[in-house]
Order: sequence, then C-alpha cells, then structure tokens
Amino acid sequence: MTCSKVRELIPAYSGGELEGREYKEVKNHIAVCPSCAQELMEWQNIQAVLREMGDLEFTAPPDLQANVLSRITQSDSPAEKRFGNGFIRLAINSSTRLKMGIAAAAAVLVMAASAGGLWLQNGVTVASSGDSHKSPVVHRQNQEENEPGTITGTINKEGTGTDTEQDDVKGTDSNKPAAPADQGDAAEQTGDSKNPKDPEKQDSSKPAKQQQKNPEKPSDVVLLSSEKIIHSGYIKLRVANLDSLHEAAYAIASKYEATSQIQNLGQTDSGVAKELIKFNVPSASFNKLYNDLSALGQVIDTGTTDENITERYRQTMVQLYDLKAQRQELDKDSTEYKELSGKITILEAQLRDWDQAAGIGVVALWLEGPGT
Amino acid sequence: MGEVSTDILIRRCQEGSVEAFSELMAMYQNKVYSFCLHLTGNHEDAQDLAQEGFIRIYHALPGFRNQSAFTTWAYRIVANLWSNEIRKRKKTLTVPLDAPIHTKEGEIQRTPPDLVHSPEEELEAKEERALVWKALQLLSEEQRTAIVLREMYGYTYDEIAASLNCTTGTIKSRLNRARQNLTKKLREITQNDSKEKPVEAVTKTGKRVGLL
Repeated sequence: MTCSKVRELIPAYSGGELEGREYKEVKNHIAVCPSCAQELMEWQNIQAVLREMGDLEFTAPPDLQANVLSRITQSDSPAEKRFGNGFIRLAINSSTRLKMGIAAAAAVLVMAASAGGLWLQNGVTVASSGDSHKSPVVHRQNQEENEPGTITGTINKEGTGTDTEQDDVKGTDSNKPAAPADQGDAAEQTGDSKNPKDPEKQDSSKPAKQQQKNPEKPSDVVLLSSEKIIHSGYIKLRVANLDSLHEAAYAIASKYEATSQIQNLGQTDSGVAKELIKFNVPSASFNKLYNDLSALGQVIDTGTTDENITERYRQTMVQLYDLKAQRQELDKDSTEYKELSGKITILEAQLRDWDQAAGIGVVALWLEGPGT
Repeated sequence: MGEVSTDILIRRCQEGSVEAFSELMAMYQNKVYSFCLHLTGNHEDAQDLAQEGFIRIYHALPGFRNQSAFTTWAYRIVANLWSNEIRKRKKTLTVPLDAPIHTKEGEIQRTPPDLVHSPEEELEAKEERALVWKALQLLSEEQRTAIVLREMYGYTYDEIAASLNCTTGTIKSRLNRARQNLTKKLREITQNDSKEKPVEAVTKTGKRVGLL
C-alpha cells in the first residue's frame, strides 16, 4: 500500500472501521513507516479532541423553553416555523388568497427586516397578520428557489412521489361520512402532508422494505432476512368540527384495524379546543392510515420518525446466542450460570419489546378545532 | 431505559401534558442545545434548530416506545430537521459567512464579522479545541454534520445515514472527504498561526496539532 492510500484510510483505521485485508495492510504499513505513524497520531489527537468537544455542554438560551412552550400551547400557525419539513407549505386554497398572502407577507417581511428579528439569512418565514385561523399563511423557505409566481401548487406536487397512494386517499374521501368542512383545503395539502421527509428517499424505500418483510417467517434466525422498523408519526390538523372528525377518523381506524385512544387537552384562551388521538395500527397499514388521517383537515404539521432497528436487533440476537452457548457449558448451580441467565432474560425481554414495537405503528393525531 | 423520572415524564407527555414536557425540556434542553450548536456551528441557527426540534419532539413523543434512549431518539429528530435545512440551503447556494472567497489569485479566507459571542470564543480556553472548532467551521455543512455525528457523538454509518436520509455509501464517502478536509484545514490554520505567532504554534500541553 502506498503512503497516500494509507493516509486516506487512517481516520477510518483509527476509528476502528476497517476490516480484513485493508486493516492488516494499513497496520503493517504504519509499523514500518514513521511518517504515516506520525499521521496516525495526529489524527488520533484530533479525534480525541472532537470526542471531548462532544461532551461539552452549553447552556441553552434563556428564552428557548418559553418560546417552545408558547408555540405548543397556543394555536400555533405554520408561519412561525423556521426549520420546516423541506417543503413550502400553503394553507390557502385560491389564487386570490395567495396573492393577498404574498402582499401581506411582503408587508410583514419589511416589518421583520426593520425589526431585525426574523430569519432573513437563508430562508424567509412570513405570515400575514390578523387572525391566524383564517388568514392565508405563506411559509416560504427561500426566495431563490422559486419565482414568486410559481409558489402555487408546484411545490406541493413535487412531493407527490406516491401517486397511487394518493389516488387511494382521494377515492376513499367520497365514502367518508360527514366530511369536515375544510376538506377542500385538505385535498390540496395531501401532497405536502404525506411526505414529511425527503420525497424520493422516503417513498421509494418504504414499500420495498415492506415487501421484503412478507416472505420472512416469524422465527428467531440470527441473520434476519427482513428489516425491523418501528413506525411512528404525527399529524397536526386544524378542523372545522371536532365531532365529525372523530367519526371520520374512527371509520378510517377500523378500516385498518387500528385501535385508538383520545385525550382531551382542553381549550386555549382564544377558544380553540385541543385533542390528541393516538392510533395503534399494524405496521403493514401504517402508511395508509397516516395518509388517510392527513387528508381529514388542514395540515399544520406532520412528521414521521421511523426507526430502523434491524442492526441493533441483529446484534442483540447474536449476543443472546453467545450467552446461551456460554451458559450451556456451565454448571447449573454455579453463580456464573445464574448471572448469565439474568442477562439472557433481559436480552430476551428487549427482543420481545422490539418485536412488539416493530409490529405496531403509532400515529399521533393532534387536533385543533372550535371549542364549545 | 433511561432514568425513572424521564420515563414518567415521557408517559405524561405522551398524553399531551404540557407541564410534563416543560419539565422534560428543563432536564434536556442544554444537551439538545449543545447538539444543535455542534451541528450548526453558531448560536443563531442552534437556537432555531433547538426550538423547532423541541416542538417536533413534543408532537412525535406519543410514537416514542423506548426503542432507544430518549436523547438518542431526540437527537435523531433534530439531526433530521437539520439535514432538511442543509438541503434547502444548498439549493439557495447560501455562502457561509466564513467561506473562502475564490479569486483569480486563489482562495482568500475571510473572517466572520462577529465573533463576540461565538462558540469559538467560549472554547478559547482550550486552544486545541478552538483550533479544531475553527477548522470544523470551514467545512461545508454536510461535511461538518457528518463529522459531528461520527466523531463527536459516535454514531455508526448506518445511524448517520438514517438520521440524514441518505445511503450508508453516501455517508461513507462524505465522511471520508470530510476527514481529509478537516485535517487539511487544521494544517492551514496552524500554519497560518505559526507564521504570525511562531511560539504559540505548539500548545501548552506540548502537542502539535495538525502540523507535520
């Protein structure tokens, strides 16, 4: 191996990421090459400094907590968002209102610029003033990305990577009893709402993973042939009528064999009632439930936090088999045997928990509507 | 998993309790904020990221099932938000304040205008750290994020890929470039420093950083 090749690999070597022949070659080279050995020491030093820096704790700004809590408790508007979902969100449904929105947004922008308080460096976050419930709200992330005239539906459409699924959503709409009054808004929003993450990565990878799952037998084979993913997501909706939304939501839930649990979260000072409905759904139906629920009202915010635990699951299983093999060689009355048995029980419980979590997806539906 | 009090608070948050979330925030806000500061490299972005991160954490909490430690899970949400933000910024071709200016005569380093409250200064006590921090800020946001997640927080390639919505292969090559780049920047910084103040090129502990 040449020095330049070795130097390229030194960080990975130092981080324990190399395997097999590469690892050996780097190791052997460093043993005989002082300048590469020096380079390794340098990098190890940098790595140690970085690790130290990761342990440093900074004090959060004093107003962080208050800001977050006020955003949570108020009937918050998406216009206040700074870091968004990577999409431009539109909570309006006519071009006239859009133009008004832009005009109002421009006005606010000027105010914000003079106040110097808003996020003007890279993205622009603006809202029209007035009643946040009804006023058009434009959330723009940047100016360069789009000409003002192209804000309309184009960005939303960019997000519709799952055409078939969307058709599915629309098809079921007509069957829904007592659809909420702002269904029109919702239809425009689906493209946005169903793609909380990167549209390409997210949508292309998910169905593939699920297809892989089918041929797998529920067994405890060490080398898992399928992925274990814990699906969860949330949808924050504004609706015109909470009661009719309940009906529609429960109808969707029963279609996908989901169970639900509702929490009344009280009312804000301005008379907005808040609720949280938690759905547990078989993982295979998670996406469908998520999309159908997203279409029930005006989407304020959505997000999924799917977590792939395949690797951790696999490692835990390997560990479990190791321990079991070790235990077999021990005397059943020895303390080591008991210790190992304790560890084995813990690992088994962990695997059971993961199995359960991977089998059931959770959707949290946060609702805001007119109070009584 | 996690401390008992955290578990109880999380359970109450999952039922929508704002009071419980307030307590949870009080416990974790410094940790989350530090993570944001490392990712973004400046207080302004860190505050925005932490704010949006916590709001998202609140809404996502009902779906949290102790599949990992709370901080790990929370950091993932934050890292995900940050990667979306980076992607947006890339599209707008935002120039970092301290990005080198390309001219016919070559690259010119410019100094960020306001370093009064920069994390760099808070770290100044530790000169090595300050140097590494400085070098980190000269990387692109993507590269810096990869370094922060891997080297500071010990994420695996797979975990980084999952947090940033890209493939493990992408992360591997990005991290490789980021590391080379970091070493290079560190050398440039120390060499510049040694030209100006030759004595201080060697740190108090006698270690020479990034200097061959």
